[in-house]
Amino acid sequence: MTGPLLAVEQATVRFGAVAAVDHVDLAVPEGEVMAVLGPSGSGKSTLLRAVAGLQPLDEGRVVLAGRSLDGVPPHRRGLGLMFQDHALFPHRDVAANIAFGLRMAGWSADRIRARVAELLDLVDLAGYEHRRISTLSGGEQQRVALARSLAPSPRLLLLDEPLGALDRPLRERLVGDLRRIAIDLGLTVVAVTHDHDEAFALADRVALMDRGAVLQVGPPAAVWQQPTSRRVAEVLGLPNLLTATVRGGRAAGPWGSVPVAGPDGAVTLHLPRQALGVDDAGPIEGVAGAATFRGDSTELRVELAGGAALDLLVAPPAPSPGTVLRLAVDPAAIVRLDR
Amino acid sequence: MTTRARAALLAGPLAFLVVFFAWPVANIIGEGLRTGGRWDLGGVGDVLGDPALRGVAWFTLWQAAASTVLTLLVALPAAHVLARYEFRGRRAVQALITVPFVLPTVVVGAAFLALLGPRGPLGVDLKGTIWVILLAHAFFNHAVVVRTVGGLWEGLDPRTEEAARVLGASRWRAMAEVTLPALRPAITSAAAIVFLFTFTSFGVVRILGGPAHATLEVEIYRQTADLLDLPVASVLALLQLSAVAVLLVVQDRMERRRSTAVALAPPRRRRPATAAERWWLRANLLALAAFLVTPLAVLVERSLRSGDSHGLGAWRALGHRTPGTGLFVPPLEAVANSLRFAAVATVLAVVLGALAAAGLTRSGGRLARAVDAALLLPLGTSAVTVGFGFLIALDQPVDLRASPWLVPTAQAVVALPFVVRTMTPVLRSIDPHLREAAAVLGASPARAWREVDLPLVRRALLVAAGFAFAVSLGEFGATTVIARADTPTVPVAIDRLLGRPGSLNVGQAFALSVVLMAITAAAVLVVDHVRRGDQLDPGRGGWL
Repeated sequence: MTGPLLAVEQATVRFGAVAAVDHVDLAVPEGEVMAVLGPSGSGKSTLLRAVAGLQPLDEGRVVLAGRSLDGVPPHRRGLGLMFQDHALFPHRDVAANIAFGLRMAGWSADRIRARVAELLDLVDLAGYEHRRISTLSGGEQQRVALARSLAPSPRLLLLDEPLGALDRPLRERLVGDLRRIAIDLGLTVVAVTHDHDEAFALADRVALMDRGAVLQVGPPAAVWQQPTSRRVAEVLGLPNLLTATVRGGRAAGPWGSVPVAGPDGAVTLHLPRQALGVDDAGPIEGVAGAATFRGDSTELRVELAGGAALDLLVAPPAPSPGTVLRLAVDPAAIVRLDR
Repeated sequence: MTTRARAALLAGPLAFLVVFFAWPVANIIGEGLRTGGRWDLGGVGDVLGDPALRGVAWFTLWQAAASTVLTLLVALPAAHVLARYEFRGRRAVQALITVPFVLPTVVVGAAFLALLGPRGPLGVDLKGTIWVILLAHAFFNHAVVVRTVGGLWEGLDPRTEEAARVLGASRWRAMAEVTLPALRPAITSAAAIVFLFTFTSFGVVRILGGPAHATLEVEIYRQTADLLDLPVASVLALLQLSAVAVLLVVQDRMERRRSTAVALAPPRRRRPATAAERWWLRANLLALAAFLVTPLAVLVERSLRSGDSHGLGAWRALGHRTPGTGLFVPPLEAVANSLRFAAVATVLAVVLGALAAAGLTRSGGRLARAVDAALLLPLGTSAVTVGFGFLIALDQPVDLRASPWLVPTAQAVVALPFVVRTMTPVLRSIDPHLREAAAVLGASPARAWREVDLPLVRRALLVAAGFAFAVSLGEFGATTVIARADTPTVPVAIDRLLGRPGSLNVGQAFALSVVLMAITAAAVLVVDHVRRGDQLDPGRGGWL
């Protein structure tokens, strides 16, 4: 097979007059972990549900391994889906939850028992077979949910905010486990999340979604360093976005001007924190604001004329608030965003 | 789930209600408001102009109001004690107080007749007075108030009252200014339900009211069965239906406000701390015992009496047909009839009710609300009206009036809302993601229902079946209109026996009441036991 394992073509889902998913194209090759990253309400979960067959498409189609899934109900798609709230069956124990898909597929009791043990090993829950769901912690429930969706060896694993219900330290540990399991098993995964740290840690490629549309697709580093539009930068939560006008190779605003390549016109500039420094000869003028001690560095906020602000890292001691200062920037690091 | 699948789920229950509820009601309207094929509102004028019938309407209204006030006065202290205090046997008391509400109305009537009727142990004969009616109503509806108000009360944070005390409010002041306002939504909701039930009261008033007192419901029956004046009965039924519809709308408004009113916490009960609290608890438990147990105990005692001495005469007579009792069969046969009819009605009501609840759970919006309301209508509609509607509507195209299915069908109409009310909240509480997870793992919709929904609602189904069975068993209003003379149910037999003079008749009626009470109480205690182990408890804070 030469095409991607999963292809979403012009997928559209409308809720009344609103298109929650608006003509989305997406291709995921076999063995890739793709994260769909977007704020809540961006349509990413609806897209995932459409792939699983839980949400009918108004337009477009979903193709799996070259075969259209049009009209194939969810229980015949052979996919794995993990819900944010885990959706474990409360009336069954851990083993029966994991065995559910195997029973649906008609496996024998012996094979099921062996496979369940194998999966509990995989998610580090060996011996948990007969625990009740209500006695499990959030992290344990998440692992059982993963084991349950992996048990029937789905061709494609869909994760809906896989770690969303857990607290921060646990998420960071589990995101590593998830990545390791995906790579070890050679899984093809589509994970939906609103957390860019999670998306970057998990995925080979990230698809950025906003208001029903996919804005940019690429490897995490490329998306982070080269956002293609101001909206992408905002969705990523990038700091230091400045509005400017380019004329003759320089971008100017009320705060000063910096050298920028490309044609004339209105642009947004992203100045990465690491590329900024306090420098009396710098082209940008501002007033020192609050400084936040971060342990190994101090983050300084500089207020610019025109209401914008820049964050940068400085060596202590930070200039006291109200000090007028100038900033220099590495021209090569400036990201120019046309619209 | 597709719209078509939803429609399929709701189609059965809706068709059932159309044929066995809407069609009979339409016939009643036709009978009351049309003469010779034309609309004629003259009958309405005649009824409204008749001072005797106006008196019935007025009596219906004020006795319902008085019953509601009395029930609240009697039940609120009990609600307080059960919601706030931990004591030995609290759970047993809680289970026990629900028994009167599920007792058949004829049993309640018979019990108060035994206690306060002629030859009662207290030597006072209140039969035919308003007092015994009010007392029986308070006895019957006591549990509605205790469960509805108590459910909210036990979730109220007692610290708000303590804060008021620390700020200088006396115990009574704190109660009046902090606790009662917080309880008001539950109190008004309970009051509305009690008013509705007593407004359409039939069995109690028929047995205890004597010739002087009749509610609209009793009068409809009298016009139908005794005077054979169907047009007047129809107008009265319509009058009552309209009043009930208004009440239901008002109650629905209050319910909806109630659901957003207070955030409930887990119950915080404690042992009574001061001497005053211990006395309050003891006095309340004693009063509860006196009020709830005495009528039933006296009923049992009177069933064991023949003339002035004790004996099993009345019980022995249950096995034989006694001339002069107004019954064409041995009373024990009525027990068999009742069990058979109630079993069929339970199956009908549970199957249709579960389908309706499943359909309602999977749909939203205005349609679901409308269907929901339509399903509850039979609850508010008087049972006599349902039976009366059967009588005038189900003769064509096929005459169903002699069918053995007729009585169970009517009982299922009456029991259906109870099933829907029990099942819907439980089905709603099932996370839809569970069904989706099952689907993605390869379960077809039918398989997902069997593997996920069914195990989760099994207890609720049993509870609903228990309620449907108890309701069908005690159903009196509809059954008495349509039951054939050779297949009476127990409530009908009790009514016939009490309608004839003679101490043996009364003794047999009391004995039959004891039998019915025992069966119903057993069904309810089983239900309560099943429900207590349930993770998804449908009943907390509700009156069911």
